[in-house]
Amino acid sequence: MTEEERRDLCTILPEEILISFILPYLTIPDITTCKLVSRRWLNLIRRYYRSMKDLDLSPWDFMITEDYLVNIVKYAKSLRRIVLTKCWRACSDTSLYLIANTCKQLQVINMSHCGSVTDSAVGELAKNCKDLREIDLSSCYKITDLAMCSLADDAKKLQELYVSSVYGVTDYGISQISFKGLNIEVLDISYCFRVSNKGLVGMLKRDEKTKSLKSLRIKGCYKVT
Amino acid sequence: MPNIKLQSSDGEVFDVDVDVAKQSITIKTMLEDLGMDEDDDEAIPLPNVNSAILGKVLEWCQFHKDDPPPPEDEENREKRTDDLCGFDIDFLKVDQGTLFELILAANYLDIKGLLDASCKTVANMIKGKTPEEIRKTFNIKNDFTPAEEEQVRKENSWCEEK
Repeated sequence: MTEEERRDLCTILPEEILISFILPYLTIPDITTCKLVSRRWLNLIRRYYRSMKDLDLSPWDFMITEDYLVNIVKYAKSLRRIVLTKCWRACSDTSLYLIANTCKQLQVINMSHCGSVTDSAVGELAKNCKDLREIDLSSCYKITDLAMCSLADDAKKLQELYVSSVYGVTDYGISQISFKGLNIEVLDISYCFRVSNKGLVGMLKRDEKTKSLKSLRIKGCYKVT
Repeated sequence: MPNIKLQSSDGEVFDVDVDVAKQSITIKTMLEDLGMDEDDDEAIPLPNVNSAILGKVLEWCQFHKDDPPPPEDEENREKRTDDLCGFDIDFLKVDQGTLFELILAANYLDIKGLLDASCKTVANMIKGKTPEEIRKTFNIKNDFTPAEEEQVRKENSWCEEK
């Protein structure tokens, strides 16, 4: 071993220790900095991305670009949970399609306050991430009933749906969710002013049998009585 | 208090309180599996740890012997690095070689508290630094070609517009 190798922690410490015990203590910006140290470090970080189960970029919200997100998730095939609150620059169709096709084990995704999220991106996630159980689309103003229909059709394990202040969601979209047999536990349609009793009736009727619903937020839905 | 004997890779034998030594899950398991008890005069060989490091490890175990057992849930572990106790901070003010050897020993002996504390210390040596500063800290040579480096730099950029 040369003097150099003796001091590079990448050569001294087994990768398993670096990946399980050291890198998790670093923030995502620190991790990306590490990619620039040397080739060995770059490869280590890519393998670390592969092992990551949780990615929360919300602390850096709109600083995160599409490229930045793409260069993480293209390796991150083990992710279970992704939080992209207010990361509206990153939440493009390109990056979300990539997430849908890479992160097959995804269970939780939060894209709230990302006006860039489209119905087709949600559709792609619903179609590909079969374990999806929680999706937060609050204040994603481009979202409409189309996204609700894709979730109703494909995201059969969905338990928590947050669409607060998504004005494109109407009775039709909400009724589809229960009509297609999803057992929702938490539904947040607060400030979805176009949703009325009609949309909820089916769900509540179904729930009399399934008893799955635990929380229903309807604040600001003036048509719901 | 019953004692047991531990033998380092270079042959030195340490006489240790069982409860101190049992913070190492590896040693605890060995004792249980081998049915060893305090009457046993035979030293447990630890071929992966030299006497200098074993001495340090046991000093750490002695100080932390009354700690509650570490929580099990890996997933929800808080990712903080600023919560080391004063003893650990001073204890881990060692040269890098020793620090790395302590990590390896803590991993081999399966002493979670020491492994966490020493790994946090290494993480703190990386945090907030530029790539050049990290290279300097760990004496690493930049082996990227300028083109490769530019490529990674591009992947990493986030502030400038596309």
